[in-house]
Amino acid sequence: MRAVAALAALLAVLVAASAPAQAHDQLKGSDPAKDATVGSLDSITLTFSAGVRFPAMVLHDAAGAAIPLTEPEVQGKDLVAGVVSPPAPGRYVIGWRVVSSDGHPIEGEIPFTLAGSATAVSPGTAAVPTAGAPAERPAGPVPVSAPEEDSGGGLLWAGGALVVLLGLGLFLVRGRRTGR
Amino acid sequence: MAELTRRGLLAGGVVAGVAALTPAASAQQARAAETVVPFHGPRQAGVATEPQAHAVFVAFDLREGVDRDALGRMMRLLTDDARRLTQGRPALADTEPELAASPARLTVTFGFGPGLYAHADAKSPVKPLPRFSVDKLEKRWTGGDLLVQICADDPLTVTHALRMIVKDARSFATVRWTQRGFRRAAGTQPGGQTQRNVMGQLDGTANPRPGTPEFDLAVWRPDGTTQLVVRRIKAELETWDAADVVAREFTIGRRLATGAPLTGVKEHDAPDFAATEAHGFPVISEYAHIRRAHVGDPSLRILRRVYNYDEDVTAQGHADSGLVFASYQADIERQFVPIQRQLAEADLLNEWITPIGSAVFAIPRGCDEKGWIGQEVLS
Repeated sequence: MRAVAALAALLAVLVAASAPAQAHDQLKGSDPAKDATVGSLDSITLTFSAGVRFPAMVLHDAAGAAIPLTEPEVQGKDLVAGVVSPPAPGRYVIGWRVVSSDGHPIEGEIPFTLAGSATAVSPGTAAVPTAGAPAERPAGPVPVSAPEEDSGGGLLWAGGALVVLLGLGLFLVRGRRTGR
Repeated sequence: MAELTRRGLLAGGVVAGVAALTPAASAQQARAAETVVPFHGPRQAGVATEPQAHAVFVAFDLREGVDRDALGRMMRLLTDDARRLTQGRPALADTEPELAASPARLTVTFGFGPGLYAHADAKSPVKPLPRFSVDKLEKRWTGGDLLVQICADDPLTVTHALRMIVKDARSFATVRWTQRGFRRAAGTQPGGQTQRNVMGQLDGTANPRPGTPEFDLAVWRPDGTTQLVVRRIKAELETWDAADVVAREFTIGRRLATGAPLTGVKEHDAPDFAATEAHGFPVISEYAHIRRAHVGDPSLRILRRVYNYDEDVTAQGHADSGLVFASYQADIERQFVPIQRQLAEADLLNEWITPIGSAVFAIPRGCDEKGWIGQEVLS
């Protein structure tokens, strides 16, 4: 009996799983775009599904050193930061964290390549400094809602059963807490 | 995690229920009803006193023509009421003397607003707070010439004391506002333990501890006086309900379950504001409540002596709840104002709280058996 009820609950959750994800704002796109190669870099624009608050943005080169940015500014649904001085060609990662309109912090990483004369490129062109799949790193102190953190799409499936189960468990707890 | 906590609470309830049945426990409860907090002393009670379960804050406007002499007469009367009631004795001409028999740690604390000093032709040590950007102050919760803070572990005791005090004050003053508040019922959690507020947060973790030099520095002035800020802070529970655990913990900078900072394990672990996560962003956000409210210098901290309020539910089923935020500090301008500025500027929590009332009072020194509260100001 209990097992059947639990299964039914699980199914119900599976069907409704995308609902809470849309409660938080999402990153819709960016300039530079994820994994893109761009010819120049004067500013960075992130576009969200709604106006976000309390923005933070960093830019790191392949060695993990920070490239100075201007204070990120919310302009409608966009978040814009200027690049203080043009960096050398190479691979870079934008890190961002904002507060969604429902109070939930969301964050992510956007790796991209700045093309150009390769004179100043650091030798370790290998990869993004952080381990794992940086673009899909779940946000915040606790990954309650890992799937919707980024615009990266395929994480839910790529992440495998563990992530799904973890998310479901947390969702169940949360659902109960809020009396949903 | 939530389940475990809930189960823990249930188990705790069972233990408490069993304990309540034992004779020792019922004797303990009887003693709690009779427990007396000393009234006399160089400092007024009700400040360093471990917060009682129930409180009412009542603010008065002085009637026109109430001068220094009249104020002296009023404060002699009110002091006499407080002196008797807090010790479990009926007030003079007490119409319900039976109700005075359970003081239940009753304290009656008097505060003087700027207007009282104007009536007394004296310089006020306190002035109204500057306007903060987050304020949506309503006149019916703001200001006041005289404040009486009445606290006890028994709500009927509070009601009786309020009635006695108001009856003696009303020929001198009209009631401007009354704010009732509550904490956990007495005996439901160990003394000195941080309480949760209506938003579910542990509230007051960073308070100075009574009996420490830090407490005395932060709260008391050398002459035995202190200063009180009372703010009515409405909690937007409908939208707060929509914020999930991550959002709430990110907002406060603490774990909901334990009250531990996001960088720590236990409630009283010091927050590590320098700690960063994978992207290099601080673990405790620049805009988290505990970072914005953090005060490094212990002498600049404030003593939060906070009560919850919960008024009538609207027809739509929305709560009218929040905090009767009362903080004691030696110097409002030096201690409270900078903290509140920081919070008003950028505190994630502002999304869910709105200050709707505000008042400041100087708390005169205490008095001995022959004296009265305010004597050094009014005679």
